[in-house]
Amino acid sequence: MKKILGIETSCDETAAAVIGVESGQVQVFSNVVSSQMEIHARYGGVVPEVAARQHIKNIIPVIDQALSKAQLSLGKIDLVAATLGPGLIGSLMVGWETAKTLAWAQNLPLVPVNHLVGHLWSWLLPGEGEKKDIEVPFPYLSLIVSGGHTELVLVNSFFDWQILGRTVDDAAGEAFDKVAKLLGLGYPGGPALSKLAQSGRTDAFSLPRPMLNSGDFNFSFSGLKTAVLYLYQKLESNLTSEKLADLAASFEAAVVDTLSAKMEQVIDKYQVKMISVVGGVSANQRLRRQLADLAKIKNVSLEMPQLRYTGDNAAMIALAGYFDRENYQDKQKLLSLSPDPNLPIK
Amino acid sequence: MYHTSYSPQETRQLAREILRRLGTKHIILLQGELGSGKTVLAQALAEELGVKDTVNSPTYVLMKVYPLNDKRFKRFVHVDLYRIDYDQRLDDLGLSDYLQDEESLVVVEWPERIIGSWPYDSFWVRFYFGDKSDIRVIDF
Repeated sequence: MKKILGIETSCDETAAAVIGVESGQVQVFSNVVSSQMEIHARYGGVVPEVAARQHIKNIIPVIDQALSKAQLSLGKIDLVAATLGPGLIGSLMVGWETAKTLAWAQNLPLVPVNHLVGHLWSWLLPGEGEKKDIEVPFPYLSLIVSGGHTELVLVNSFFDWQILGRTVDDAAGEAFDKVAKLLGLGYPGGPALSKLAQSGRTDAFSLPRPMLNSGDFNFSFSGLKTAVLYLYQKLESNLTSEKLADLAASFEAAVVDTLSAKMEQVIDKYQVKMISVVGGVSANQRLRRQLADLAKIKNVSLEMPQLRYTGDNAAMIALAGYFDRENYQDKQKLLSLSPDPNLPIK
Repeated sequence: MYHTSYSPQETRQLAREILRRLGTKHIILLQGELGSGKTVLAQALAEELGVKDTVNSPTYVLMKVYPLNDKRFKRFVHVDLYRIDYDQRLDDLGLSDYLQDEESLVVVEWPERIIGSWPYDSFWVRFYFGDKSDIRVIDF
């Protein structure tokens, strides 16, 4: 069995995980995530310098915990995989340099992983202590959707994918967070907004479904945010809690409709047999339900990560590193590699 | 000087004039509320300078850097401090290198999240909402 240690520090979560791969099956031995959310909440947002300092404090205990939960010593690990980018530069450096040091000291192969590629495979991860077959019906369509990203990816193999479309302005999760702040729900308030939306009517306000007829697979959420702003300003003096919930629900439905409609266009054009949604926003219940409906109508299968793997985690980085293990042999070159905050997904 | 814009397209057209009026400055600060047109203008500036990639919001990563093939500027640095709370120190953000590099055109959204510490020769652009929904008044 190949045992892989994954390390992820691209933003404000310090994460380490140990997975094992054997005869086409993956299992997760440990998946440790130390969130800094409470620390940053005091500042009202992520502070890069604070994030980097916290990573430094957390990284070794988090790796130790991942190893001890997996009941393995570092000497039993076959491969180290760590996030090279994209993300915040100070945060990335802590995880990547730690991984380099471990790999060098233990003479282990090291694989740099693109954070987005990690998300791409997150639906393949089983719960801790379970096993799951690595079976992927290529080509399939993946929607990566989070606070920083909204990309439609046609995945052709474990090594080859093609970006079909992306946001031209705000990411979907970012739109959630910004609208939440507008409605007085704090920042980042995407999950709070979704909670509020549960008690609202989705057809109470008519909001645009941007770019549906743009002829490409790109998204735009900036105009939707502005439309909510106008509605909010118009209502402000008599905005009841009921109307606020209606506004949240109408907004959420507009985002989900747009994501789902573009996926439908891709299914029609590329005739894929499977779709997948990954990343932080893939935890959204309305999105999950609507994509389940879409999959049924279009007769395709739908794969979504377990909720614990929707946010940033290191198990997905370990798995991506496993798939990419043959591509990185030049150790000297690896040790001189630096993290890239704008690393493209190719 | 106040410029009235009736649409995102009109806001985009201001990019050329800003670049013309920039003189020797290389830091452009875009101040305005959510939805006032900052990102639209930043995208237009990037396009004027020949950036071919999609210039989408850098809110999440704070900063995105695009290489340029321009006589004067070697890179376009798009910064968004929306997630940064007030009273942060500028040098805690990893921006200093670009602010001192005259070959980097630095465009900053939400500069007011850091008060009083921008280089004195920054070019300020301020966005205001007009009295009708789609109207913006842009001051530079």
